This record gives sequence, structure tokens and C-alpha cells, in this order.
Amino acid sequence: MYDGTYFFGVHYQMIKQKRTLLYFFTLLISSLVFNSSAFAQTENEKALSYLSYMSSQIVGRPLNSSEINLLKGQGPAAFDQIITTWTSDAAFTIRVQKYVENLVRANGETAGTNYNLPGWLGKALAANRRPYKELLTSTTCYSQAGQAIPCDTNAPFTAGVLTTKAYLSIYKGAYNISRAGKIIREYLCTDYPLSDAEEPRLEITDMIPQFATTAGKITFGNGNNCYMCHSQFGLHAQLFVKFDLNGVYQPGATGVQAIGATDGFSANSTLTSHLIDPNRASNEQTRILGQSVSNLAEAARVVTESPRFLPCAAKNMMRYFLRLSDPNLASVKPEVFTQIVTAAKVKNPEPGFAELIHAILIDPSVYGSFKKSGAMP
Amino acid sequence: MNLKAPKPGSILKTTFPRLWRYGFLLLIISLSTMFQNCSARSGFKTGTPNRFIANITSPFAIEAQNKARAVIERNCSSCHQTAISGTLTRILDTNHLVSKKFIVPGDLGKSPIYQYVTQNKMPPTGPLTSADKKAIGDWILLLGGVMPDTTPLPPADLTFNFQINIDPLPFLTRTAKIEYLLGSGLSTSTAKLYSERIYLGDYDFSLKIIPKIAWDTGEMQKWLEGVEPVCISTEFQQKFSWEQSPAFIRSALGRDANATDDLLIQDVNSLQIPEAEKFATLCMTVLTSLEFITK
Repeated sequence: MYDGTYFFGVHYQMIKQKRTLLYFFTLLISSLVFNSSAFAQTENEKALSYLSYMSSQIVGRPLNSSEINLLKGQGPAAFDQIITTWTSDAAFTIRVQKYVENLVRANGETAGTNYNLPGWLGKALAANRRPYKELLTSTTCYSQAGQAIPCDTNAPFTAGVLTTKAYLSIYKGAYNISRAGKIIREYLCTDYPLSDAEEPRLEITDMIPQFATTAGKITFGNGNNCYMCHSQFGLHAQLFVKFDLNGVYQPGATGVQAIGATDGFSANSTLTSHLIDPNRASNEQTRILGQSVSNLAEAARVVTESPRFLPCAAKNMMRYFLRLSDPNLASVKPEVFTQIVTAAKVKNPEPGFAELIHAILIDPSVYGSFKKSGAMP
Repeated sequence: MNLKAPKPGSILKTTFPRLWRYGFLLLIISLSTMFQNCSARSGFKTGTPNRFIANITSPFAIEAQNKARAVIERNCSSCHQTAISGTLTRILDTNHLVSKKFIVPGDLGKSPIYQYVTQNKMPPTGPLTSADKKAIGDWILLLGGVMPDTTPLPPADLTFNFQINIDPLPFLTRTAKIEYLLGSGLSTSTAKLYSERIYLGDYDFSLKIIPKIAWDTGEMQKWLEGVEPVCISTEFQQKFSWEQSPAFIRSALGRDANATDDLLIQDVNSLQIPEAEKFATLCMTVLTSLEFITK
């Protein structure tokens, strides 16, 4: 029987003394894991390497024996069966939770705020095979056990992660710019300024003076042209005018700059509107992507109907699940994301996490890129 | 003064070429003026024909122009039309683009706009699709009266740079794999790993602790110390043994042991230690190598 004391007393010391050797082994094996395809000559072996690389992030385990045998016997033809099984596995829902946590940059819990709600929502959506878009449009939040629970902002509407104190706290900031910008950047994968056609601008005369400059004044960001972006920021920031810094809905919020407060801050820890008219400043009604909306929940629906939304979801999922670096991700042609979405929609017109990850992994360009990579000599 | 009468035919040989050159100059000036007059009224803005837009008359050319305009409106105009961004403005004004040589009608190689989008330098939000790039190229060619290639685009090579990520896997992914190998979910043998979870890369955004990506020898040492109880645990010792090293590698790495794994097994086997320790050494090495590497 193994003697742990001996191990600790003697062998572990030996390992430490031979640390260099051990690290050499480690590095060697590591490279073998990544380059297991170094020995993969046949298509079936390449297919095995591919899913061997993917399995950790999708289901949190190595390939099991039957999957190895299936891939060795059938190669890429086994992808569909294996990935379908993976996406039905409870382990996949945990990985989706982690994906959402990293997407929203929220987990953990502090006094007053449960930062786990976005991740739990993602997990529940994956477990219940709900559409991906419900990340932004779900009318409920979920407990860790997957029970529907109210979201925690006290708002009279619900918009998935957007109406969690976690999201609203993390992206709090003057004028609600971060809360608004996150929607555009993370869920539409684009940035300000949007084209006039996509998002007609606020009239310059409707805006508070500090964002109504178009030239001649050097400030941060786009320097001399605040209006260029804030004429659109302002529209989207208006959606958050009733939420305070902690993400609590304040029906009486005015959106008017509080006297003596830091720029961008309104009374009762709420944030200042971009709109100069006090009546409009206090009203959540605004526009997003050219459509009039009365609150954040309606805005979320518009965002999820954008042709940018699902390709952006595919991009985000590729970043996380395939562990693509930003430079690698930047080399992905937009057609790849759209063809992934098209494939996912064949399986489900309202694709969820399962359909999207399935479409990503069986996409010929994704598999082809893996084969072309340095790991596939 | 020594005036000489012109020789017969000398006018044709000397004066006429001068006149011809003069006339040619006039012609250039007049054409240039005509171009300016026309182009001032032309382009995306008005659609009024000019020297270049005059080439945009066929349904094919008009459709190409509309496609290009849509692409530019969608991807470029938010920064390059009314707003101030770099040297390129008024991007929807063909006349302006031509006069400032942002596009050279009929010549894609000399058209910076085309070069920027085809080299993926613009737009900053991500490369245009092949079809969008072609739409811009076709329009520039048609402006110069050059018929673009109308054969359908060949299937684009959509492969991309897929470098295997050698950063450590997320902490909970790594521990999930170990728990899978243990076959028992949470185990006391993993307690040491979890006690160092933040040091080993796990995140807690509520505490502003972000995922740790790069590992140093410190993390490696902690990880080794963390997996040691796993490798010497009863669960592991009952499931795997030194004799079953290839099976262990297959389970841990999700593939069959290969020739280099065999070398590793041989090296560990050469250590003058009991088999249980040999397995523990192999186990720690393999579990430490689960898809991450130090930088």
C-alpha cells in the first residue's frame, strides 16, 4: 500500500530536488496535450485531437473512452453525436454559467448584491434549452438550483441580466455611459459611433451642453467631438436613468444633474441624463437602433432582434469556449459567425446555447482552422 | 538680322507641334474643368452623372453603386461622413473622394479606401465581408468605366488563425476534470486545491478578482502541492495504478498514450522508488499538464 508519509518525507523532497526534471516533464506533456495531433496523421486522429481540445471547456472533462473510440472509428462523422450528447450534459450548463460570468464579469456575492444572478440565468437557460436571446429578455431570474426567482432591482419590468443589480453595479458610472456601452459592445459587437442609418442621433439642441460639442474643444475620448458618440450614448443611457448606483430602480429619479455633485450624478445616487429637457431627462422612453422603446425591457428585445445579435453571440462563445485570443478572434471573417448562426437556426429558429455551440464546433471553418493551426502539423 | 524665310514644310514640323501641344493643354484644362463642374454635382450625394458617374448608367452599375453605398453607409459613414475622424471625411461624396484621391476610378491598387478595407485596416469594428469588399471594388472599377469581374465569388477561405491557447484553463475547468477522474465529485483530496483557488487563477468579480491567466513557478508549485493529495488519494490509488499508466493517461488526457508518453513512463520507471510513488509522480505530472503550461 502506498505510504503517504514516505511520499511526503522522501519522494516529495526528491521531486522538489528534481523540480527541473518534473517541470520538463510537465512542459513536455503539456505540449503533447496541445500537440497531440503531432502524431495525428489521419483525419480521424485529427478529429480526435480537435474534440480532445474542446471537451474541457464544453463539458469540463477529457474525452471518455467511448468518445475516443467513436472518433477513432468515425472521425468528423462522430462530431454531431458527441457534441449533441455534450450539450445535453449537466456539465455543459455549468460551463455556460462560467461563460456568462465572464461575459458579464459578474460572480460572487457581497452584502446586498448577488453577483451570481447573471451566471445562474445562463445556466438555467442552457438547462431549460431556452433561446440565447433570453440572456437579455428573460422575464425572470433564477436561483442556483434553477428555480425562477424575481430579479433584484425592483424595476417594474425584467430584461435578463440587464435588470440584475450585478450588471447595473458593475457598469455603474457617470451618465450611465458604461451601462449603455456594454450593451452595444458586448451584445452587438460594435461600438460607437453607430451609423446614422442604424442609430439616428439625438438633436444637438436636445443635449446637455457638455456633450453637445462638435469641434474646437479638446476633451477625452474622441477629443473635439463629444457629440459624435454621445448623441447615441445619450439615447441608450436614458434606459438606465431610473436605476441608482446599486442597481435599484428609483421611480422618482429625475435624470437631472444634482447641484454640487460630481458631473454625471443625479439625486439619490442616480445618474444624470444626456437630455437637457427635465421632462425628457426623467423619462426612460427613448430610442435604440432607430426604434422607440419605453423601457430597458423593450430595448433588450430590439437588441436581440438586431442582425448583429446572434453573430455577436457566436463570436463571444468562440472567444470563451474555444479560448481564442483577441488577435485570433479578429482574424475570423464575419461570414463565419453568420454561417454559424444560420446553421444553429436550422436546428432551432431561436437558437440557444446548445445549438450555437453545436454549430460552432461542427462549422467547417472552425474545424479547418484548428487543423491548419500549429497544433496540426 | 538674319531673317530666313521658312523652308517649305517647316511650319508643319515646328510650329504645328507647338500649337498641337497648346491645343492639347487646352483640351486637358477643359476636360478638367468639365470634370470639376460635373463632379461637383455628382457622387453618392446626388446621383447626378459626372465623368465617372456617367459610367454608372446600366442597371448593373447602378445596383453596384447602391450596394457600395450601403456598405459604406453601414460601416464607414458614422466616423467618416459628418464626424471628424482622421483625414477622410464626406465619405458619401464621390466627387470629394475622387478629388482627394481616396479613390481612383478604375484603379483599385491606387484607391486607398479599397486598400484599407481589403487589408482589413478598416473598419475598426472588424473586417468587411468578401462580398462587401467586392461591392466597393466593383463600384470603383465601374466609376472608371472598367467592367468588374462578374463571375460569382469563389467560396471564400474562411479559415482563421486558431492558435492553441496555452494559457491555463479556468481553475474550475481544471478541477472539474480532476473531479471527473476521481469519479466522486467533491473529495477531501481536492481540498488543498480549493483552498488556493484564487492563487491558482479562479476569479471572484464581486471582490474585483479577475481570472489569472499567466502562471509562474509559484502557481505551478502550489498546483503540484494541490494535486499531490489527489494522486495519493485512496480513490485514485483504487482506480489507477502504475501498471495501468497508459489507461490513466487515456482517462486524463482523453486520448491514447503516445510514443512520448511512453518515454515519460520509461523515465519515471527508471526512478528507484516504489510503484505507488511512480504512479504518483506520473499522476502529478499529467494532472499538472492538463492543458496549461507556464509562460
